[in-house]
Amino acid sequence: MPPAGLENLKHIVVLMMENRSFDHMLGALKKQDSRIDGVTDNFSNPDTNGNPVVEQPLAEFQSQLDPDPDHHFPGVDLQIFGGAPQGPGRAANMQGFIKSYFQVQQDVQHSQKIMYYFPPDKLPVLTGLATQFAVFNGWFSSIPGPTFCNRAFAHYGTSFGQVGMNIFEWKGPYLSIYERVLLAGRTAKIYYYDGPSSTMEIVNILKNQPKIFGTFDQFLKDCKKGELPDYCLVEPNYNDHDGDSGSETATDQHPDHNVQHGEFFINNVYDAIFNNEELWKSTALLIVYDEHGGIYDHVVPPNCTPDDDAFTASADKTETGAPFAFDRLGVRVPAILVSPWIPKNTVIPGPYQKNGRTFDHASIPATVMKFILRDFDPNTLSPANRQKFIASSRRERAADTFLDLLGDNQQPDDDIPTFQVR
Amino acid sequence: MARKRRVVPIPKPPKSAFNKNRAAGTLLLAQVVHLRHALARHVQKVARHLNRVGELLATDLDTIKTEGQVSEYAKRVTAILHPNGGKRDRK
Repeated sequence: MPPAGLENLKHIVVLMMENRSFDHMLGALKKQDSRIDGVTDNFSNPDTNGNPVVEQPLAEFQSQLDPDPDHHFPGVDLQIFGGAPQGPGRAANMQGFIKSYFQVQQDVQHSQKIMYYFPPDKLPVLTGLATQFAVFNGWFSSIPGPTFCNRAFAHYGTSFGQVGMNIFEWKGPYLSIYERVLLAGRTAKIYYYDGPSSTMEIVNILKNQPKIFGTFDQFLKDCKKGELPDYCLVEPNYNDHDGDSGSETATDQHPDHNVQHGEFFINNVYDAIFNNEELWKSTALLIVYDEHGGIYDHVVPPNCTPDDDAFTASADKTETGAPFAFDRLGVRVPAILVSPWIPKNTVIPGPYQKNGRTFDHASIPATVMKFILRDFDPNTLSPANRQKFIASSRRERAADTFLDLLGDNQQPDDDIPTFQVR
Repeated sequence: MARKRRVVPIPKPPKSAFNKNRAAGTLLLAQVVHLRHALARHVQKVARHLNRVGELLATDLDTIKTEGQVSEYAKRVTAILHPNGGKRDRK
C-alpha cells in the first residue's frame, strides 16, 4: 500500500524561478545543519590576479550582480572547468566563476561578488520552506547553459539538442508533458504571471494557446476554488511593468531583479495552496530554479546519461570547440519540495554523499508521468496516441523522480510557517 | 476559519526595487524575439484561415444543389467556426 501522502496526491505544482545557484541561496544553511551540502570556509575561486577569494555572506537583494553574469554555454564551461582547454581527461573544478564574471566588466573587485551568498535570515521564505519540508542537495540544472534550453527539460524532458537561446520549435518526436497529460484525459496548465510578463514557453504558446495557459490570477482563483489541474507549472513575473492595479515588480529573482520580491511571490504560491485545506493535503509543490545564472556553486555537476543520439550539439553550437552529448548536468540550483506529507527538515543527499541522489529538470516530466500512470492505462489510447504518450527522451527515462518523498504522516498545521510582513 | 500557523516575520521589499527603465537583459531580449516569431507563425496561420474563409464567402450558393454539396460546405464552415466540432472524440 502506498504511503498516505502519495495516496492523497492529486496535484503537482512546479514553480520555476530564475538564475540563482544553490550555494548563493541556500548554502549558508550548512552552518545550522551539517547534512546540507553548502558553504564552508574552504571553497574559493582565484580572481584574475591569482588571489583566492572565498565565499562570503554578503549577497544583496539587488544592484550587486549588475551587469548580468554570463551563463551561456561557453561561459558556464569556463566556470566549471576553470579555463582548462578541451580534451580528454579535462577535470571539472568549479574554479572559473570569478574569471568568467571578470570578462563581463573587466573589474577585479566587482568580479569577486559572484562568490557572495545570502545568510539564511535574509531569505526567510526560501530557507524557512527548505528547513520545514525537503531540500535537495543534488538538484542540477539540466544543461550547463542558459534559460530556454534548461526550461525545455522541464517541459519536454529534453532540449532537442539545443544549448542556447535561439528560436527552436520542437518537431518531435516528444510531446510536452502538458500534451501528454491531456492525452491521458487529465488536466495540465502553465500559469504565466500576466500578459506583459508572458511566458518563456514559446513552443506551446505556438501550438496550444489557449488550451494549456492561464495567468497567475487564474492560478489563485483555481487554488481557492479547488480547481487546480493535475499538473501545472507557475512562471514568475519576468519584468518590471505597469499593471492594471499599479506597478508590477519582477519576481523571478533573475539578476538584477529584487530577490525579496521573489520571496513574496514564492510565499504567494505556497499560501494559495495552504489556504485551501483540501488542496494543501493533496498537493506537492516543487520550488526550483532554472539555472544558476553564472553564480558560484561548489559542487561539480556530475556526468549523466547522454540524451538521444540525434540531440548532440555540434562544436559550432556550443562555441567551445567541442560537441556536447548532454552527458553532463549544469550547475546545481536550489530545489525544495513542499507538502505536509514530508517529514520536517528532510534533506535529500546529493550525488557525492552517502545514499546520494541526482535530480535535474528532466525529473519533472518523469515524475509527472509516474504520477499520471498511477491510475491511467495507456493501452486505452489509440496506438498512435499511445506512442505519443509514452515516448520520452533518454534523459527523461533516466531521470530520478521524487514522489517517494511523500510519507505517511502529516505535519500539523500549527507548526507550518506563515510568512508575514513585519 | 483560518488555520493557526507558526508566524515568521519577513521584511518588506523597498519600493525602489521597481524600475521599468532598467535595461532589459539577454533573457528578456530573447523572449521578445521568440514572441515575435510566435506572432509571425500565428499570422501565417490566420492568413491561411482567412483564405479559406474568403473562398467560402465567395462560393455561389446557387451552385449547391445536393446533400453531398451541403454537407461539404457545412463541414468546411463548421471547421472554421468550431474547430473541434467536426472531430470525433478518440482515445
